[in-house]
Amino acid sequence: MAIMKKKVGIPRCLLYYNYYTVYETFFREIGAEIVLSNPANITLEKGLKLVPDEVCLPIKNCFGHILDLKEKNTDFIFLPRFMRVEKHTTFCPKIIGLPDLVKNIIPNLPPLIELDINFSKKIKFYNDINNIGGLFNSGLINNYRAWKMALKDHHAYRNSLTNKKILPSSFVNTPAHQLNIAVVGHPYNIYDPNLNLDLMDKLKKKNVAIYTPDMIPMEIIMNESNELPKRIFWTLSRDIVGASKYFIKHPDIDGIINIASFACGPDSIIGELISFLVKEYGKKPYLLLILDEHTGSAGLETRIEAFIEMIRMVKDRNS
Amino acid sequence: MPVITFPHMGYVYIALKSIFKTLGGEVVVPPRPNKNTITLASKYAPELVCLPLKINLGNFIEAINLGANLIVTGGGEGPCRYGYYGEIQRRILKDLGYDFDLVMVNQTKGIEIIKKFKYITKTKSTWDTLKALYFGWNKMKLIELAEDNLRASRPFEMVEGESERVFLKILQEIDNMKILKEIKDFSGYINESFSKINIEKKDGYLKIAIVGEVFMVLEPFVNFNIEKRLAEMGIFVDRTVKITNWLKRVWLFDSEARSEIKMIKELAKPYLKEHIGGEGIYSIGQSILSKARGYDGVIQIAPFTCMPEIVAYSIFPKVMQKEKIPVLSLFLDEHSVETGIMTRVEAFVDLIKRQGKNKHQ
Repeated sequence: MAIMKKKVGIPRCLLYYNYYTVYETFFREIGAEIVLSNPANITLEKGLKLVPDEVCLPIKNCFGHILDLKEKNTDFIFLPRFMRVEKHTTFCPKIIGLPDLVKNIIPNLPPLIELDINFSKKIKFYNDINNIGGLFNSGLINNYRAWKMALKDHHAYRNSLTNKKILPSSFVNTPAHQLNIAVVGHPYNIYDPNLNLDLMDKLKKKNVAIYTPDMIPMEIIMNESNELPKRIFWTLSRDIVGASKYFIKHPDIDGIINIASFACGPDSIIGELISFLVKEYGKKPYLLLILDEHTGSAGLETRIEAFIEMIRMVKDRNS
Repeated sequence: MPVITFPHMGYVYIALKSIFKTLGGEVVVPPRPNKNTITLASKYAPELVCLPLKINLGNFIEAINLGANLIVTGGGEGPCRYGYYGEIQRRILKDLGYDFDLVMVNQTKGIEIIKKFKYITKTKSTWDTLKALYFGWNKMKLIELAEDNLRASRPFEMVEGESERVFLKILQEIDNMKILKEIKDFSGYINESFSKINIEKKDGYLKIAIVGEVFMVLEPFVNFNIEKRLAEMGIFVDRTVKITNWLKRVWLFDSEARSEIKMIKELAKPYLKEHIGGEGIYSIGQSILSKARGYDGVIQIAPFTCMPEIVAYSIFPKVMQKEKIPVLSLFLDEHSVETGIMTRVEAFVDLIKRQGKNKHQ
């Protein structure tokens, strides 16, 4: 008789959008059943009731997802603490403190799997990985095999995003009326249709080809961001600025949309930085959209339409 | 010839000014933050950035208009936004067309500080730089000693405003000191001057600890001089954030300061496991410590959208419930109005007064 697999809940928020392949492969290989939180809009509303107003939108959304998992009665909730994934960069205070926020705000949660992800503490990390495997009755060797495989899958996934070499060669045959627009911002904002009110769909319907920082190979991002006078010390923001700088300089990109969230610390800094970079390297149309829980779909639509119309007008005049 | 300026934060300017002057630099101290600083700041700074960046930007514009052309400011490696302030401010000011140079000094790295200070003041000698830094450090110690004395006497003074008069006079004297010799024995003089003030301590007076983001706590202009306002209500106020403590911990490896901060982190651990940048973890730890030290309440002050303090703020309800300590959180920005804030403070004071009645009588 097959033993019932223990369930692990994974909130569909924040770094999920960067590392989902890691989560999925690892938990599958150690014999856990993965339960994802509901993608529906209702999760955000649940979160809003719990968290102070001053907190940024993605964190509020995350609380909704964790409440949703609580209702799904999973055995565990996976909530890693991202501190450092590489030597020189870190994450924002709210992401570092997220497990503490969740524990102190939501009562009666299922046990949290808090995996400390810290580049400088590798031994502790491997020990933690092994302990997590133990929760699902998986042995030492299998745990490390699962972890190795998870990393392999992650790199394969990342490569599949970047090795298409989307920029610049594919632009040669772009249809005349198609615009190439770079959408930059934190992955959890640009890929979550609930937070950005279907921005990607709205753009696609307007015959726009979308490019995101994930499509830019890491070497380019590093080169671009290393040219800045002061290094950016947030991992995600470094990627955003590096990619934005590449997009700004790239002749085939027609415009840049930056999706930021209200009350996000890094966004308030890099939003300004990107607008200076736009000025520095020739003027590309640049739209900064700041999202919060009150953002209305119609208002967003109007701004995007105006932005795209403006780009088309300039393009038509020049051609 | 470079004319040096730097951002304001409480009375730190006195120490910084003397360091640069001792090293032979020309210094323009920006005007103390005022209405005009805020107007300039909100005009040119990004809207959603936190208040210290805006106020500092206003400081810089005012200083440049007074002839400064070399800005010295802090920097860091995150995760708090403060680390990137200088770069954003530099770009904004350049965009406005000002001609200046901006040097970011990572204040957590001793060697970098000496190197950068040598570069700023064009001094060749490391010894002179160290001597100047030591001089500034001693001034800072005196300023904080005077502030401690002020806090101890202001709530209980018989003649209103006397303590502050003495304090301002001492501040002026510290500012005027030119050589290290003068500093000797000055601490005795400070204590003596304050001991001459007539005070009357009533039984059961309230004690409130102020925690939070360092700039907002130290700069009286942005926190509406909350320390003074509380003292006027007869409340003893302790400000847990102290520059000298920080310097002792980070630069001088002072074991006492280090063990205290370790204890504070330990106290915060059940609620917040990791250091999250800024003063987030200390705000929580200090509040718990203040309760143990007999304080009746805690006021947390931070700029609007401050990341580390928002984490602390979100955790405070649990801390309040478990540790039984009342906390009032004030998130301030350029739109905050004194009357509104003071009404909240007064209501908070009334609450803890009622709560404390049983305890003290």
